Amino acid sequence: MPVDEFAARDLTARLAHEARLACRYLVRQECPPEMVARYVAAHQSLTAEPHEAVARFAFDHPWSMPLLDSASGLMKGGEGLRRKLYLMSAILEASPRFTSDFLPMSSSRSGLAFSLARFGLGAILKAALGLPLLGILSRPAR
Amino acid sequence: MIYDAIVVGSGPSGANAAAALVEGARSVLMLDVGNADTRYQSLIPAKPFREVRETDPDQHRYFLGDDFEGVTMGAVRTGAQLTPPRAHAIAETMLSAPIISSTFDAAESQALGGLGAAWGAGVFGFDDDDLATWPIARDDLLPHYDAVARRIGIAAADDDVTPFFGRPGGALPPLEIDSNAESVLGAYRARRDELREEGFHLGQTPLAACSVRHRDRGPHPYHDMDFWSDEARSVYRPQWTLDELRASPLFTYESGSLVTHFREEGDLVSVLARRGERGESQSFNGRALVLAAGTLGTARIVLRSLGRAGQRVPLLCNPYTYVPVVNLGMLGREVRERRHSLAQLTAVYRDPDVRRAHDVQVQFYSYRSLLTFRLLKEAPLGYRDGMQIMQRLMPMLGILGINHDDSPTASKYCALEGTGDTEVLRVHYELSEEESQRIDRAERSVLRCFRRLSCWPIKRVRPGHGSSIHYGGTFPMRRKGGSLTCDESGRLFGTRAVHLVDGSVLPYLPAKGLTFTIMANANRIGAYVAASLPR
Repeated sequence: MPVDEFAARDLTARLAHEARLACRYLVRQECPPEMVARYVAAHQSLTAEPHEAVARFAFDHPWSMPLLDSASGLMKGGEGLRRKLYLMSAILEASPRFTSDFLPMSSSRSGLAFSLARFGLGAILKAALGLPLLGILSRPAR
Repeated sequence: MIYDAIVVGSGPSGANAAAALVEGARSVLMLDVGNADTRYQSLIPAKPFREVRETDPDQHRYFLGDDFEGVTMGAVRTGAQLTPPRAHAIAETMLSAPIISSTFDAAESQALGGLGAAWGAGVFGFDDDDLATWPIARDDLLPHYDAVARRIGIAAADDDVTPFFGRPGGALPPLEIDSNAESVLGAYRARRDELREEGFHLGQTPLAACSVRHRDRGPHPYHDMDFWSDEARSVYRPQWTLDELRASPLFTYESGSLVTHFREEGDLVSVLARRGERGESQSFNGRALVLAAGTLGTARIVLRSLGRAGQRVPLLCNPYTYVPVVNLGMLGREVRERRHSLAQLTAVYRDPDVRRAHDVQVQFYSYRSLLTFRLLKEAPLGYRDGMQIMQRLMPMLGILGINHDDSPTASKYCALEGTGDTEVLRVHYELSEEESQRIDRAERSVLRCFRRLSCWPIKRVRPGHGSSIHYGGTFPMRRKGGSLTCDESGRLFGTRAVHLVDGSVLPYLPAKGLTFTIMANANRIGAYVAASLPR
C-alpha cells in the first residue's frame, strides 16, 4: 500500500476513534456510525488540526478530557481539542437522536440556582485540575 | 433593444427603484449576478423549529451545511450570523470583487435580492435630524415610505419608539413578541417614566413581515425558522418584488451579469457587463442608468467608469457591538414555542445631557433558533459543562445588537487600485479617539438601562469594523454638487442620466437600520426618472 494511502487510513481510523470518544464524553452515549462518518468528513472540509499535543493526549487518555476541556475554555493552549469538541457538539446537536441534550430546558428559580451551582462548581474544579496539565502539554516542543 | 432604464442590482434599492420605474410605465432591464441558494431551501420542512430538531434526519445538511460551512472556526467575523441556507447572500463575492483592508471586514452581495436575501427585516424611518445633511426634507420621503410599506408589507406597533421611526400608512398589525421580550417590555413599562427621562425608550421592532395575508404573502407562521427559510414568504425579500415585476412585459431580468462599466453616448447610457462562465463582455443600452449594486459595488463601477482609480471616496459604516444578556425576568416564566426569530424589541437611547445627541439603537433578539454550539464556542467553559448550563440559560438568553451612527472623516475611505485582474478595492476605516470613547460611554449607559430591566450583560463583543453590513456615503447627495457627489435625484455629478439609489448616496448614517430609507429613496428616484424621461 502506498505511504499516502496508509497514512490516510491511519488518519481516518484515528478520527473515528476521536468521534466515538467525543460523543461518549459530550452526551454519555455511543456514537452512531453516521455521526462518526460526519466527523471524519468534516475534517476534510475544515481546518481542525489533528495533531495538536493537547488533543492527542486527551484522546489517548480519556480520563483527562473533562479536565483539559474545562481548562481550555479558560486559557489558551488547547485550541485543537476545543475545535474537535466544538465540531462534535455541532454534529450531535444537528441530529434528532441527540437534540434533547441541547434543546432549552425551563427551570424554576431554585432549580436553576442548583443546576448552575452544580455545573459551575464542577467546571471550576475541573479547570483547576486541568490547568497544570494543559500548561505542560502546550509547552513548545524542544 | 434600448430600455428606458437599466437597473444594476436586485437588492432592496434596485428592486424598489425598478418597481417605481415599471409603475411609471417605463421599460426596465435589471442586470444582476443573482446568486441563489439551489441546495438547501428545498430540504427545509415547513414546521416549527423544535419539531424540525426532533424529527428531521436531514437537518444536519441545512443546519451545518454539506461542506460544514455553518461550523465556523476562528473569531466571530462579519456575516457570522448567516446560516448555510443564507450564506449565498455573501458567497463568492471576493472572487470577482476583491477587497484589501487590515481595518475593515467587508461583506458584499451578488445574490438575487442582494443583502436583502438575508437581512433582519427591521424597518426604521429617518426623522428630520437624520435627514439634516440631505438635500431633501422628510416630507419629500414620506409618500415613498408609504409606497414601499404597501409594497413590502410592514408590521408595526404604535408605542414608545414610534416617534423615532414613524409608522407608515397601511402598516399591518405588529407581529406577536415572544415570552422573553414580553418580560423585558413588562419590566420597561413598570419603570417607563424614569427610563424615558434618562433618554431610554423601548418598543416593538417594526418589521418588514406580514402579520396578516398581504399581496399573496404570509401570514407569518411563527415557526421560529426565519434564519433558515422563507416560509409563506412572510418576511420581505427583494426577490418577492422581482416576482411581481416579472409579470409585467415592461420588466426584463438578466442574471449572471456582472456590470463593470458605463459610458454615456449622446442620449443613451451604454452598460458593459461580464456574462457567462468565460466572462464575455456584453453591452446594453438604456436612456437612464440606475446603480443599485450596493455601496462598495457601485463604488467600483463609478470609479472605474470615470477613470478615477486611486481616488479616495468616503466610506461610512455603523459601528456595531453585540452583547449576550441573561434576562432574569424569565425565571419561572412559561416559555412559548410559537415565535418569530427576528428582532423582538428595539430601544433608542438619546443622552439627555448632550446638546446634539448621537442616538444609539439596540435590537433585542431571543437566542433560540440558532444552534447552541455557536454560543458554546465563545463561552469560557468546557463543552460538556457548557451544554448543561446553556440548556438551562437558553430560555433567558437574549442578544442585544447595538448600532451607532457614523459621519465622514478622513480616516474612513475606499479607493480602487490596479486594473483588470489585479484590480482591488482598498478600504481603510478607523474611528477617532473621541468617537471610540463616545461609543463606549453610550454602550455603558444603554447596558445600565437594560440591567434595570433584569437583562444582565455577559460580555460586549465587537466583531470589527464592517460587521454591521450597513455601508454608505461614497457619493453623497449634496445640494451644491461637486465631483463624486450626487444631486437630490441621485444623479451622479457630471453625468446626464446616471442615478445612484443605494447606500452610496447617504451623507450620514444614523444609528437606525438604513434599508427602509434606502428603499424609500430608491422609490423616490425611480419615480423621478420615470417622470423625467422623454416619452
